[in-house]
Amino acid sequence: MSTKKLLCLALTLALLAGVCTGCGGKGQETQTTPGNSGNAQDSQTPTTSGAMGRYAETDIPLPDSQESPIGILWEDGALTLYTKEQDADNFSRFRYENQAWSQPEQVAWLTDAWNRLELRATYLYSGQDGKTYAMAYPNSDTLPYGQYILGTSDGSTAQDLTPPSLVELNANGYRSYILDMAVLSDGTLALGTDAGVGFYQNGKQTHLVEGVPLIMDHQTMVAASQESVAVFAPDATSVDIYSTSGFQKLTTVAIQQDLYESLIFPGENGIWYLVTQAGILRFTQDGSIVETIMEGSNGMMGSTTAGKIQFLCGDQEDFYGLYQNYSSGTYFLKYYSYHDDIPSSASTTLSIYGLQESSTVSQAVYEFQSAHPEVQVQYNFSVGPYETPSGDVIRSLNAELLNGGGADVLILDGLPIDSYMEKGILADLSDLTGTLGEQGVLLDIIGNAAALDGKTYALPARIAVPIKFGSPEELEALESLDALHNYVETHPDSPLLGYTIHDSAGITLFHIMYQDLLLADGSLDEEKLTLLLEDWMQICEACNTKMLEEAWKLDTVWDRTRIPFFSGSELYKDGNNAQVQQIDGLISTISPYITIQKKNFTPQPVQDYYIPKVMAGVNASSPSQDLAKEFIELLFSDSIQQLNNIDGFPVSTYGLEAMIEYSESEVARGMVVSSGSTDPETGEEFIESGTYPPRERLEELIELIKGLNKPFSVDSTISQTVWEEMNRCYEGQQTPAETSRAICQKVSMYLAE
Amino acid sequence: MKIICKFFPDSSKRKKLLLRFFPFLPLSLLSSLMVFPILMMMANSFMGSRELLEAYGIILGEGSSEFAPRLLPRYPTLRPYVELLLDSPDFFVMFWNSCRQVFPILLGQLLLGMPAAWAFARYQFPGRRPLFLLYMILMVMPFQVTMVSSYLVLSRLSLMDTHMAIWLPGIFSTFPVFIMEKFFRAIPESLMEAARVDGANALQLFWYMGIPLGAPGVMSSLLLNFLEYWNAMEAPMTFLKTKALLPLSLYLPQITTDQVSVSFAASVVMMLPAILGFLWGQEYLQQGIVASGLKE
Amino acid sequence: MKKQTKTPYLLLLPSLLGTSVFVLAPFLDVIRRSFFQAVGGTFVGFSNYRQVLENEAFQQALFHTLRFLFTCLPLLLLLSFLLAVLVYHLPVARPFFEAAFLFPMAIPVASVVVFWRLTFHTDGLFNELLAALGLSGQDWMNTPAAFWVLVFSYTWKNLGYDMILWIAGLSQIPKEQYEAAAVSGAGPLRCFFSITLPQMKSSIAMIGVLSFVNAFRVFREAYLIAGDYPHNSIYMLQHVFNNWFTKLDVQKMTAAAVMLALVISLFLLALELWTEKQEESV
Repeated sequence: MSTKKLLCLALTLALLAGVCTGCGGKGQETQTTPGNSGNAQDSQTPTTSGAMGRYAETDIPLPDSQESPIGILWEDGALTLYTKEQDADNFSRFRYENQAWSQPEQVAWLTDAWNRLELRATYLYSGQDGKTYAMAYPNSDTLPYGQYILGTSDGSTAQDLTPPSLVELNANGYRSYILDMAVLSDGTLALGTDAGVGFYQNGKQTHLVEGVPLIMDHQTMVAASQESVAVFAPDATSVDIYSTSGFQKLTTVAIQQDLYESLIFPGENGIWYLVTQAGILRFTQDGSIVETIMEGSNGMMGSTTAGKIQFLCGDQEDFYGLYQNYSSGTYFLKYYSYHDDIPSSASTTLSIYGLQESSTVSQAVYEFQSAHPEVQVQYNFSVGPYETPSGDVIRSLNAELLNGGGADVLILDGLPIDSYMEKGILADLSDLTGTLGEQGVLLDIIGNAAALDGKTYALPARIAVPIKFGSPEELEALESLDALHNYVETHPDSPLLGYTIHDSAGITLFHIMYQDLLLADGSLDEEKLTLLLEDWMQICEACNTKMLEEAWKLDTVWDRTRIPFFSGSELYKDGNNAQVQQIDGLISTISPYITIQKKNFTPQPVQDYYIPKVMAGVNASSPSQDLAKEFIELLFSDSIQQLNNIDGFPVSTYGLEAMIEYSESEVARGMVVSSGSTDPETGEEFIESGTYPPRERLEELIELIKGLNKPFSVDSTISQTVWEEMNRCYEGQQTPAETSRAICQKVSMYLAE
Repeated sequence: MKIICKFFPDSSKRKKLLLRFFPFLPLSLLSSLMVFPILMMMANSFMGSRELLEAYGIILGEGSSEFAPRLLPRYPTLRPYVELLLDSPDFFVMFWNSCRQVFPILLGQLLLGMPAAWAFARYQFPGRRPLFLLYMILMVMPFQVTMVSSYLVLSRLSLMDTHMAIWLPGIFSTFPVFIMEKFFRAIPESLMEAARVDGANALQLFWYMGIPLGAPGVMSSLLLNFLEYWNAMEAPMTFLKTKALLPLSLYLPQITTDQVSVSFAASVVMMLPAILGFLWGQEYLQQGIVASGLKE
Repeated sequence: MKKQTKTPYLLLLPSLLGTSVFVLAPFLDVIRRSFFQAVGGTFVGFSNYRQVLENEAFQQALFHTLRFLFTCLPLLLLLSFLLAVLVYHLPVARPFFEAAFLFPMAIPVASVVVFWRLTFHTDGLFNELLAALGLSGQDWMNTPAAFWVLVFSYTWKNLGYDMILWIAGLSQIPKEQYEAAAVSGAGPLRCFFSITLPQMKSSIAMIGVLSFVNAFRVFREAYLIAGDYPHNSIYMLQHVFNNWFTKLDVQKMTAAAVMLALVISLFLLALELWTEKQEESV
């Protein structure tokens, strides 16, 4: 055989071998995948009648007690709830039998741990060796801060099982954090730390595997069953399965969802269950079958307002889940079992689609589903909340829309709303505005966000608010192009924007001055743009952006679709300067208000702009118009408007007031945000921390919000073009005049199309 | 020069020899230009992420180190391949999907397109010219234009989000018919006549004479279409929604800058079948060419 | 050519059926949409066509596309033919060169784009090369030179492809003709013009059409490197189609496509007639 033929054959064989190993893996079938575009046409076809049976959630009232739950375990064939009294050494447990709670029983060993070992149990775990374990924190300062592992052999005395190596202090005086634990059938401890998941026998580490990165001081990392150990993989979207002896990696099961707030727990015979916001997933330990057995929207796991504390499997293919509401702190115990008499899928579907995942919408989906069990609510999106969608996604969606398809409710952030309105893709929502106005929705502000010819086609359920603050002269400079130019001419060396980086400064200035740059036909004034660019370059020099970028080692990847207004840094420079920041909700007020309060500034609006977010519209070709409109109404209801997330501020009076109420609640007062930073000029390190602004400040902010009336709507294509050209100008590849010409050319091409 | 003079004292023969071997120099230069990017990619696929960032970071938008491209890795590592082949289960699924999408299309094109090309090439029938013209026009349309309408057709037939949505438009593409037709047409009529005289019927003509003689055309068509569908991005992106069905061509754009090393390895792996295709196809292409030389 | 009544139709039928459904039907729908509004089904006659012809972006894109075609098609055809002749007559290592030239076709577009980005970036390979020669470089993709980058990319990719097709065509010329000519004393150049060229005419048509089709595919590269709104010189028809589609301006897109199809079909018709005439004279 000729050499070439031989080579050919060898390569073919190698390829075949590769494909075959892949074939084994290809058997993974995920029955439900998020991230696909819903299709309104599908909702027309009713599901096959007769398909019955699905998991449903019921509530189990917690026992009447002053103590708070710290864990649910399965002991001796029944659900056992462990509770703890606040700031006291009382620990109780209740058994749930015949649909009733038993009398509380004292848990002696936990009390012993509190008193004798000075360790306060916070989380309970069931070991595969049949024993009960707890994770505890020190009660006083005598022990180094961190998590400790408690166990018991007789139920009355506690043992500190924390491996000594994890209690050792490192060079900075801190010890390792143990974020999660599991116990294997031979008593081996599997402990998750920031180094990964370590396996400890007799206090010594015998093996270490990689785990997810540390983001909270308690998060799911590892779980054990009789047959295997499950560890969340470093990419946080798959699960590694290891054998219980020798800790060989058996397989990696791809889940393709963010696993950070999910729980994993074992079933029988090598089955694993995973609870995420999308529902309950079940997979075999060889990863060959992965299926969703319960939709998240049908249960509390789909809610974004409650966190999952602990989940376990009962003995009848049923599940128990312990939740805690983030804002109120209330605990819930939910029971999940298979009901044969409920239709497996509802006869009507309501599909919702948005480019990016939004927690506001997720919560609305959850509430809508609970209120309408006869409707199957589907929420699909193309990218997660922190990713940028590509143009191809939009074109795929357009193909669907043009054919009368697409979801019933469209969340229009990032989509070409103007084109959709012009072409009649969106249904007229004008009849909703009456009801919403009565509910207290601030239509003065948001009514014109997506309006054409007097009709409203979409409404933003949240808004982000750009503000500026600083010294008065500098603030004035940011009012208009002329003011800016005057300032730069008279103060060429004054760092107008304080600590800033060139691209943020540039694009923010562009957005602020956009109206001034517009000509009657919609294109940009080249001369004025050149002036702006020159001023910007001057400002960058005065602010010494090069040095800052060097010091902070910033890369230029910046998600422009999310933050159009950001002067470049949250650090306020001493002296005369101004900052522009965009606030995406109550929780984003903390950082800028640290500075605002310290310097006693008064924040001002930026050209009365607000940024519409979670723009909800109804697909004009949807067959479920009324249902879709109901969903939109829900988005503006009190329960959704009061949510505290980074989608933006509420747009109803109730929501805004609830915001203030929340900021004064106990839970909120406990929230402290700290950020450490290095002063780029002095090299000094410091930490700033703060909490929610006080009532007066928030009321002031709300007044500011109420005065806004201009939706910020610069096309992202234009912003992107400007950003790219500005970068080239900054790097010296072209002069401001050339940059201006290039920008104007591209923009006019865009408009000419 | 001296050596040549020694062995070939005859000057005219020398000139002929030089003339024959002269093209080697420019051809070698040019072909190395062709092959250079591939070699570079192959070499780079053995570099670890850190080294790649060092070398190319500034271009990919991260890091501010100087651009320092290198042909050979300083610290060769198999890690990108390991990550790709062993740690990324979706890579294999996508690879398998690519195979599942491409080969049925090629098969279909052979079964259905070849007879059609034969008919266009060797038969005169009413409507031949306008029909063939139609075929050619359909071939030229860019995907963006027909995308929406194809979407309509496919969703009406309930074929969306299945492999059929990729197979059917591919099998019935007019492109292979066009290529094969030209080659079938170029077969001399005299050969056909001779065979007919020997008693061959239409089918036998097609099977025993047409296909072997038109083999270069068939092979070219297969090769070109393989490349086309192996690298196709727009159609799978629009018509396939379930991640489990996506082909390999959509894997590469997914990779972000922190996985650059994997992207090089992925490119290499993706290129291999195509290169294999060439090497195989060349054999038959050559055979076909030789066969067409064997006449009478 | 034999005249037959049933056989050709039978041979053609399966292909025709499938093509009608999956290729022709969408195309007909495109034509239909060009006479209506984008959404809603209002008939607007020829106003879409008028809109497109008056559209500035379209005009510019058309100009650039034509410029691209008229530059790279002749370039590619000539260069690949030259190479084909050279490679065809190589005494040894022909398959090696054929393979080498074909390699660029095998690389997936995404990888090619990465490579071009590395090469033509301000700090890229090309500028480094220029620096070594003492010349200065710039960010090529942002200057009128972007056009040449695209021409280069297209040529690089399609050279081998066209070359193979030329070689296949060359191989169909019987060797006896050359031998006969050599016997009658004709030199290589004479052989070329009297034997090679005439018989390559049908190949010219086919390869020309194929290269033309491939020229439209260059959009993928342009798009991956430079995005939706690249430098003016490489802003071509497909960019306009793409952007119209993103804005749901399908009425303009379909009207433009129909006009494109019309022009191309006229051109192809002329080509086809010419080819047939050539063949009849052989």
